[in-house]
Amino acid sequence: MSLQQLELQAEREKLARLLETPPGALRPLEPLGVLGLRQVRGAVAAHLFDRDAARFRGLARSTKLLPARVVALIAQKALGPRLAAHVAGLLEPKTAVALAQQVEIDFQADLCLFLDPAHAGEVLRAMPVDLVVETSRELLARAEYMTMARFVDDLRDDQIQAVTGILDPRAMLWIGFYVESGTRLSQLIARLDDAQLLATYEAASAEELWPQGLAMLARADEATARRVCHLFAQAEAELLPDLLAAAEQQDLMAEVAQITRAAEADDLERLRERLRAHDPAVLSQLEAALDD
Amino acid sequence: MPREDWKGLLGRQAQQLPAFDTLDDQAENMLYLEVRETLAREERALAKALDDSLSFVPRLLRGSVKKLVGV
Repeated sequence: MSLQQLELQAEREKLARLLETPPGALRPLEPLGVLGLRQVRGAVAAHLFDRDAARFRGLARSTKLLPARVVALIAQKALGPRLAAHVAGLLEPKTAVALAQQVEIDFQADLCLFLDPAHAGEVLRAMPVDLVVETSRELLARAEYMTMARFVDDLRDDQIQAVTGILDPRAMLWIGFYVESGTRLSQLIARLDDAQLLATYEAASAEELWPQGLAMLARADEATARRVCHLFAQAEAELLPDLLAAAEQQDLMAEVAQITRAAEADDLERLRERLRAHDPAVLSQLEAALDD
Repeated sequence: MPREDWKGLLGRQAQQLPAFDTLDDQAENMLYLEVRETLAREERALAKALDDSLSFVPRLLRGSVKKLVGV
């Protein structure tokens, strides 16, 4: 599966979530491409908000008339997470924090599934770090990686840093796969220490998640690719042959070449030596991809 | 499918949509129906949620909340 196909799959899943339909049902839309699917999602999400914006604003204003406890009860028992998410972005940040502290973490996580971070940036950034971490733990337990990735662009750096601390390597791979902004993705990876970053790629190898790992790395910046090449060159485990086998199988050699070109000369030489010792045929595969 | 149909469904946001010329008619129709169903489902959910919400509001404040929300 090429990088483009992986991105297409991710975009199809995001649209399916919005339309509450199985992702497979949207396969006939793939000729629209990543950008086209993203435009459809943007238009539908914006219309859903626009159409009832006056009511959502009214609901947001009405929170000032009632105690936070009552509003939290209404949100959980009557509004539900989808509608509460529309209103959340319109609240004053202070009110939103007070309410978030009153609702169950389950509900908070449910609400995140539907919250549009683009509309709720200010509210999100106002949330205390411990609450963000607690909600993230719940989302992680549900393997809601796509949801978590949507927030990477809009959270404060210290919130991101705290969440990075609780991510397991598998989660990191999936979240990195879904994050849309290459710049933010690079910043996210930069927060991982070498052991965490290496563990991420060991998980890609152990759990056959190389397509996610490669897609993540191909969208990150050159410095990130260089750092990963350095780690691969120094790693005890032979990650590169495994990566190349997966890349060959899934038509991702172009992405591997793009990443490897970022390596420092001595790291590239070390990688070549290791591949030569492992299997010269695998080295030839890499050389061919680098020549393309 | 005429662009006007999409405009009827999504209003000004229809301008954000991509050109559907890479899709066959069946795929575009399927998307149209999915979007229409989503919008209808949301509308029903909102109406019910507003109704349910008011039952939690103390009677003295109910009028003010109704006025703010427009129900």
